[in-house]
Formats: sequence, C-alpha cells, structure tokens
Amino acid sequence: MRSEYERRGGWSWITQVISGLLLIVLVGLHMIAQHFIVEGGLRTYQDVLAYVSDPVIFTLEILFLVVVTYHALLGVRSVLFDLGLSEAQERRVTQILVVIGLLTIGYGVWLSLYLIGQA
Amino acid sequence: MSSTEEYLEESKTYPGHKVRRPGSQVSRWFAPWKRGLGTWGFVLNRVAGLGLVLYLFLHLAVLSLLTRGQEGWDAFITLAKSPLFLLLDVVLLAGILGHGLNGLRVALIGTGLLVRWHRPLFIAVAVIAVLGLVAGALLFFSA
Amino acid sequence: MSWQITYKIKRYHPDQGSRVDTFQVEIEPERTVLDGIELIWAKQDRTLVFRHACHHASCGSCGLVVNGVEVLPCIKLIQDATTDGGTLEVEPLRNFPVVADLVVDMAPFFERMQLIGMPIVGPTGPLPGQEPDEYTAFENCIECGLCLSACPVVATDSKYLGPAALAAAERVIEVSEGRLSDEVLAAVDNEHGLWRCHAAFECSEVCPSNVDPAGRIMALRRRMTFERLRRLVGAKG
Repeated sequence: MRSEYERRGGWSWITQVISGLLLIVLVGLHMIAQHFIVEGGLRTYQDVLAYVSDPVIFTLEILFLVVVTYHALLGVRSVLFDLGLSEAQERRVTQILVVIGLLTIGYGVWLSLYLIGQA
Repeated sequence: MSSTEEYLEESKTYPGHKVRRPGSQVSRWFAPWKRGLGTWGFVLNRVAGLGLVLYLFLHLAVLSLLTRGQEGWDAFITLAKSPLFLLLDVVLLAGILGHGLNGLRVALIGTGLLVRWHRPLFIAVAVIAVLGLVAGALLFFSA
Repeated sequence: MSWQITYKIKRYHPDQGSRVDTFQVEIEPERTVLDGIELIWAKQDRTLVFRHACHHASCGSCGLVVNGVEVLPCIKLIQDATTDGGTLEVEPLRNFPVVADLVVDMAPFFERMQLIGMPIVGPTGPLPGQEPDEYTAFENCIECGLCLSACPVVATDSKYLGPAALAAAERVIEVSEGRLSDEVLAAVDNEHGLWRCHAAFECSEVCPSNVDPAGRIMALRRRMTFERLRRLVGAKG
C-alpha cells in the first residue's frame, strides 16, 4: 500500500468528464424543449411561466444550470491554469471562479422562483 | 498573445551565457496549421468551449428581460425569431455539437479506452457534427 | 539531379539579436535537411551555429523546426520536406531557450526528467499480453526534445511536466508494478502533471522514436482515474 502524497487535479478532470457527459443529455433536452415543443419554436412570456412552473422541468433546468456552470467555470479554470500561473494566482483564480459560480447559480434559482411567483 | 516577445536569461547549461527565451505563446492554442488531427481537436474544443462560456453568460443576462414582464420578453422573442438570430442559433448549435461530440471523444481517449482510435474518432466527430448541424439548421428555419 | 532549395534560417546571437538569413543550396533530393545545413556551413557561412552528431536519429541532438513542424533533420529527406525550387524555413526547437542560431539549451527537458528521478529503464520488450506493434516503450527515447517543442501546453505552462517525463513515469509503473516514490507521484499525479495534457497528440506525431508519449499519458490517466474511482467506492487495492 502506497503512503499518501499530495494528489491534485485528478478529480477536476474526472468530474469535468462526468459533467460533460451529463451535459450532452441536459443540453439536448434543453434545446429540444426550447425550440421544438412549443408552436412556432420559442416561448412567449406566458409559455415561459407555465414551463418553469412544471416541477419536473424546474428540477431539470436547475440541474442543467448547476452542471453547466460547474463545467464552464472548471473549463475556464483549466484554460487559465494553462498559462502557468503562480500558486497564489491559482488559488485566487479558483476562489474568484467559485464566487462567480455561486452567484450564477443563485441568480438562476432566484429568477426561476420569481417567475413561478408570477404565474 | 504575442509569440515574438523574447527575453534574455542566464543559461543553466552554459554558465555565463545569455540565452533567449520565447515569451508566452498563447497564439499556439489557436494555431492548428500544419499540425495533426489531435491539435485540430484541441483547438476546436478550446474555441468552442470559450464561445459557449460567453454564450452561457449572455443567455443568462438576456433572461433577466423576463423580470420586465410580458412586453419586454415578447418583444425580444419577436426579435429572436428573425433570420439573423436564427443564424446565431445555428452558430450556437455548431459550438454545442463540436464541443459535445469532441468532448465525448476526449473522454474516451483520456480514460485510455480508445487511445489508438483518436484520429478516426475525430473524423467521426466532424462528420456527425456537420450532419447534425445541417439537420438542426433546417429544423430552426422551418419552425 | 540536384534541386534548388532556399533555406530561410532563423539566426540569433546574444549580441546581435534575431534575424532570418536566406541561403540558396543546390542539393540532391535524396539527401537530408541536415546535409543542406552542413553545406551552407561549409560553403557559405562558417558562423552558422547548429548541433548534430550521429546523423542517424540515435543521438537526439539535432532536432529543429522545419516548415513549422518538429523534425530530426538528419533523417528528414529534402524530397519529403519540400519540392524542387522550394523553401525550407528552419528554426530552433520551440519552448527551449535559444543559445545561438539553431542550438537550444536542453535544460527544460532534463530538469523535467530529473523531477521524476531520471528513471533508467532497461530494455524489456513487449509486456505479457502486449502485441508487438503496441510496443511503444519509453526505452526508445533519444532525449531529442521534439515532444516538448511540439506540445501546445508546454508552450504556455512552463510548470507542465510534459510528454517525455510522463511517458517515462508510466513506463516505470508498467515494468515495476507501481513503484514510484511519493515525490515522483506528487509531480506526476498533479494538476501540472498528467492531468494538464489536452490530448493534442503532437508529441506522438513528432516523436522520431515511436515512444508515443501521448498514448502513455492517456494510459497513466486511465490508471490514476480508475484508482481514484476504486478508492471512492472503498475497494481495497
């Protein structure tokens, strides 16, 4: 049995693959729902309110938001790390991206709940 | 983005000798010319990925129009059904297909499952993406 | 019959800066790009600085970028690099400091190999169950540095461990069943180690010795991925 050593980066790659696979399904559902379900393609205001109030749709869209935000910002982090940053800069980048991610998800959840309230 | 930026440093192998080190070469992330299919895949994934991140945040910003009620949103939807916007949707679909299918390829290679197949896989990705794009474009414009 | 070839050679001298010199060379198409450079040195410009030794892809000292692609000019034939009347743009390897003209300081290569302990792996042949055509062993590495020059990640991240060192680490695990020291594992299983690779496969494209570094990095990644997943589900091993 090998003793512990500092292992870093593996889980970012593995979770990027897993979230990517999830996104193939979630993006597919999202695109179909947005373009090909409603008559005429895109949703009017009333359509949107009805759409987001469906609990299954709400759950799927929030799941999509969380996964796509994670995948996108982890990708940005990887691109930035490719630049060869110092360790302090790498920590800073990670912190900033975590904050951006939480704000993004918070905004999406708030907007959905607000729209359900309008329905 | 400069690939010509250069600076001098002391050589580690030849003490007392100044050597020239190239500066950052970020441009090479976007330069698949004369390179193999693997680099085309890398460049495709990077360009499409950054484009999709930009789209994600633009999309979320546009959705804030929903807080302005029926008039604000429905005016935007009328605009979004114009041919120019549908064309942008096709660009978006191209990014999603390219990044998604190539991402699947990277996952299959990176888990060591189909490493030796990375070139044929890239060609398969390109063919499926183009077919999907044509089908999607036809659907968008006929909707 | 000879061909007329234009050599455009990137020159550099610490006191004179950089420039591109153009030389016209008459040379048979079956001869090599390195032969042409030696002709230029012999007949036109004795100040041209370049490095070579064996002339048969064994010493790994002559690596260059020719028309945008990393090659060993000692085995690259003129007829495979250009056509009659064509041009050869010759530059030193990328991602290495340039000492003078076409000679680079190989320190970035050997520093990376030292990080993983300069493993010297004896000749082993194909492993049990390995097909002969899958035998792409690190033992073939001639330490020419073409892989580091071709890699788009090394181009921007000087901390990236890079193709050759990662391929060497995978080979050590392969032949010794996982015996890497903790220090070496920390450098290999690291965000700037095997997880930094973006699978552009340029290292394997340019490798003149069939080491297939990209394939080895992917093998390493598979190994480390499944090891993590096994630990996650609590399996022993």
